[in-house]
Amino acid sequence: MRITPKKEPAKQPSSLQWETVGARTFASNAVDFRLTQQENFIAPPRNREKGGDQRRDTIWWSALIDLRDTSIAGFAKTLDKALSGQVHIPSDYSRKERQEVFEAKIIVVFATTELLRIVNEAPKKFKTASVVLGAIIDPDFINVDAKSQNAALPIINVPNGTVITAVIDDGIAFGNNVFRDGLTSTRVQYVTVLPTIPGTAPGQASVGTELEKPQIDALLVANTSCNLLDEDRFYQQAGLIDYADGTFSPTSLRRSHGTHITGLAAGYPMDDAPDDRPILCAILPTRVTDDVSGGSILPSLILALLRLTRQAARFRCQDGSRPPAVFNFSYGNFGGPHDGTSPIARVIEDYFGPDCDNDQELRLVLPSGNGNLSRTHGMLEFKGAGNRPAKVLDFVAMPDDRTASEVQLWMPYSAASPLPNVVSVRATTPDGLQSGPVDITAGSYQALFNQDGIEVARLSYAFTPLPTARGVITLSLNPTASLTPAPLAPSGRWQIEVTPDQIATDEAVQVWIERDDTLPGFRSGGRQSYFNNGDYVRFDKYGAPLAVDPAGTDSPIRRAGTLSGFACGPSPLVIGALVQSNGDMSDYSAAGPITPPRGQAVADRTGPDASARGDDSLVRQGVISAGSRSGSAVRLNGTSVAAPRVARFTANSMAGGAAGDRAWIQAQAIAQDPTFPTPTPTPPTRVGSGRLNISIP
Amino acid sequence: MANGGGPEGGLGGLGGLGGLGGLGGLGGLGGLGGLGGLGGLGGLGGLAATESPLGAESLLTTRDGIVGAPLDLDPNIVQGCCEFPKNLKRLSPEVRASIFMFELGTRVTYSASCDETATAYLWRLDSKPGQPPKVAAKPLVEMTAPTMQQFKDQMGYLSGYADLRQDRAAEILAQLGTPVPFLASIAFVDPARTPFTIELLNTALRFANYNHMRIKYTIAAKRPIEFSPQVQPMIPTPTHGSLPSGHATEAFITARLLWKLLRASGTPQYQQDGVWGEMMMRLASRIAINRTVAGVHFPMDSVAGSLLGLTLADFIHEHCDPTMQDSTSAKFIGTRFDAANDFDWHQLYEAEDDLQPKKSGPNGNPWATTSRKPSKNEVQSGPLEWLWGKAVAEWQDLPCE
Repeated sequence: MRITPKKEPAKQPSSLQWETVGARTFASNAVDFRLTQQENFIAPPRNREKGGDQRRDTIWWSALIDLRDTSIAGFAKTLDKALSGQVHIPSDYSRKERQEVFEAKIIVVFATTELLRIVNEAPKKFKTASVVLGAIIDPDFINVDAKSQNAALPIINVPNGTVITAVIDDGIAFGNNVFRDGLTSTRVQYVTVLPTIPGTAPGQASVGTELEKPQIDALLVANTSCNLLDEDRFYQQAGLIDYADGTFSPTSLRRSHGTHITGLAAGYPMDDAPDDRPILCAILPTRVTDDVSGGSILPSLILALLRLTRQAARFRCQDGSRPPAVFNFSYGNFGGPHDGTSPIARVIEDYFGPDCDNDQELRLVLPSGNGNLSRTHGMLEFKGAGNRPAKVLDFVAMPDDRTASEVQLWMPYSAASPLPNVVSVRATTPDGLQSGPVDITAGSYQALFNQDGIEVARLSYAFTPLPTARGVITLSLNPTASLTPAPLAPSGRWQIEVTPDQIATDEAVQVWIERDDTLPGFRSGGRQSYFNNGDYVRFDKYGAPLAVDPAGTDSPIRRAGTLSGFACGPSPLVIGALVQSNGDMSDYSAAGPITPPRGQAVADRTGPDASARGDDSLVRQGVISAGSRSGSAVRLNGTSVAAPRVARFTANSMAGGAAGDRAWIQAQAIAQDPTFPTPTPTPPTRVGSGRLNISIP
Repeated sequence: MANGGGPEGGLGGLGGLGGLGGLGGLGGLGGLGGLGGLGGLGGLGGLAATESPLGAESLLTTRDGIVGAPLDLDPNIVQGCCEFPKNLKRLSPEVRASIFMFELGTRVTYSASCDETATAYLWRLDSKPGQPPKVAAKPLVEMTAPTMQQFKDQMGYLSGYADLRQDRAAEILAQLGTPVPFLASIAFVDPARTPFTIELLNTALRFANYNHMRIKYTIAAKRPIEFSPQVQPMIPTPTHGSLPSGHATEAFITARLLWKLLRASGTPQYQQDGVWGEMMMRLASRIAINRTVAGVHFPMDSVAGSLLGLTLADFIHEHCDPTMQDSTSAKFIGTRFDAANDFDWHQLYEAEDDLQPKKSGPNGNPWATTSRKPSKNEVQSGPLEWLWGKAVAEWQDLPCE
């Protein structure tokens, strides 16, 4: 029998359409896109039980505002009466801090879509350089009546030799016995739980709750019978878990990231607990339902830093000094300028940098990131003379991705004014519709509209102000899936074509796809998009994943340069992950180099400072630490678990007088590296100064 | 040729022995099917090979081979002892199970009223041993259903707890059967070591099932799956009613009885504090909560079920142990339960002293009450007393010689 080939079906005309949009003056087109996108995805609430409450029908966000040459109070004054009701500046900023005039400062705010859009449209009027969106937040979670507290916090007396460990993470089961020094006595001096409904009294925090040791101990007593702590009930009463309300915490699960990390950083047997290793915790939100825009954790992180550093300052040793504190933050992302000037890098420098006006030594340990094999980074160089050809990135937007995706193309820094048109960029949809060019011109912007005239993707240019001072072209996509009718972006293989113009042969456009993934144990949401150029070699000749770019590769997709966007600043200790049994780097452990910041010939780091155990062996992946419930032990891997091992080592060493800074950890790594099998893995941009061999008894 | 097909047909007739399989009729208890999990009980029937057509054929031909001509015997045989507990050890566990079930089942009776919300009344029928029963029912458990609004208000828990399904899936599936294998991970229960403990726990499970199924029938509480299409339970929803939770009843009745055995044994490590009992209650609570995680129960179902199970455990204990001085009755006033609250077993039981509190819930408006009255010592059961003694002995240290 002969099968007659089917006729090629006539190609459906695409229902999508690119349009060039007239120059707009947004500080950031990408921010504007996210604000609009979220509105398009949230249907107007109908028949809400609390009907009639206008405030509930408005979308509220956590966000960062980068203020210039003003004070917090000065910024608040720029808002008229209508607007001032649409923003809440957390009570964590004291009245004194609100009056202080500064050149530049990134502050956390909670604000409506409308307010953020207005500020983003007219940055100068509001004395702002930029808006960074966090995540949407249920207005019930903001206590707008919170008032700044001026009273000094009481001092906490500790023995000489004390070093504080501060952990910022999600789902820290702080009642676990490894954080107690007695049945009903915690070593956690302070915990703030951000993802919970705050108290409504004026003295309470703007978001989340705060518990100090006496309150935690009281909860321990109330929930202990026959010498056993009812941990499920403890976390319910502590506000971490409210099943009826949908407040979910990973501490309900057997394995929780924050508990594992805190166990490595500061866990000790309850009956042999030290009295000079107090713990501070900040518990971050894990999931924001309905946030399709791919919420960022940054505002929560900055609030956590504010609260924990303030708590750390309460401690006094017997000799009157403030004990050092080692912070661990085992989070990473993919995007950002990767030159040490991102908002998070700047905030970190405010607290941990050399210019801190503080008589307390504070250190921060960060993971280098797990994105080495994620195919989320591209580097585009245009060598040679004459007519240089365009380069194309194949960008796969995943189907069933319920959150937004974003590709950032960071331009090289230029001191020239106006900025040279280094490249122009076009995007092509999976069904072949190519956009017009976006180039290095303020407001340059291409919008992809669906048949209903709703924008589903945007390719746009923006200038990222000082201290970054670089252009960035962003491709923002709506989710590709939604359970309710919504303006979706097409999934499939997109193309991003970058045509060189005035870019120098020794310059590069650095590209990152922002992180957009669902962690195991969480409801599905994001799916990570990636680059899929054919010339990227994934495996070696034996079929094993290649962890380092092949020498002389032509592929624009690179493992080098995947270092977490959080970990590019000059001060934090950044740690990669290695396999303890053979001394190799873990495949996922991300690598430098990064880009030098404006005006510097060399970057502040080449990659991580050192590497530490992220996997026991190739077979026993991950390392063992505390599970959520007392007495349980679980495995977890990643650079996330390498960092707290180093945090613990740093705290112990600082108790003995070590500096605990980058230079110190690098020296330790060089000294400890020979305890591993030779040769030391390469390149140094991935390993750091060497391999740390730290055992936790 | 009426006999023409005889030879073949005759062999076929042996198939009738298959009727012994009828013991499996207990399988009708369904949820208790897990009894098999403790398989050792089956091992007691070591002659099973002859309970089959092939086995019977061999017995038949063996007899034919050796029986010889009928003898004229006058056996010197004595009459069996009447109502004699020692006979029990010569009975198969299945037969004993029927007796134990009778002993408990005939000591309770039942009524119901259908007011705004349904109320189930479980009564106790006490009678003096050795005398015909005088029917005088006294309250044992009274259970009033919560309102529909309360069930609706608890739906938030169904969606919140669903987040734990991946984490709990293995245990939820393993706990479809009886809680006994899980209790066996706390106390050293094993078919070879503690067969009578297992028998007592199985007796309790049958009795629990007998009662909670009847109460569920009265209350006819709808399951979460009927309140929302988004519950999507991870296991099939049983056809019987939601409140009280059968799993909670069975988990708490066995947990408490096992704890009572350990206490009664006098063995030092079980006496020093309440921690063994506390652990068993934590386990029972987890089994109950896992049913909410799975999407088949409201937290309130567990509240009612655990109260029922704990109370029935005391009722059984009273029939087992003549030294047990108190009889307990309990009320669940479901309409008073604040549906915003989760299930919390601590409000219903204190393990260290093996006591149910007089009141659970807000002062002045408790949603559960229990009352303890001195036992009139009218409730012994010879067979159950026998079983209890055997089971307690399994937890006693063997003295060194």
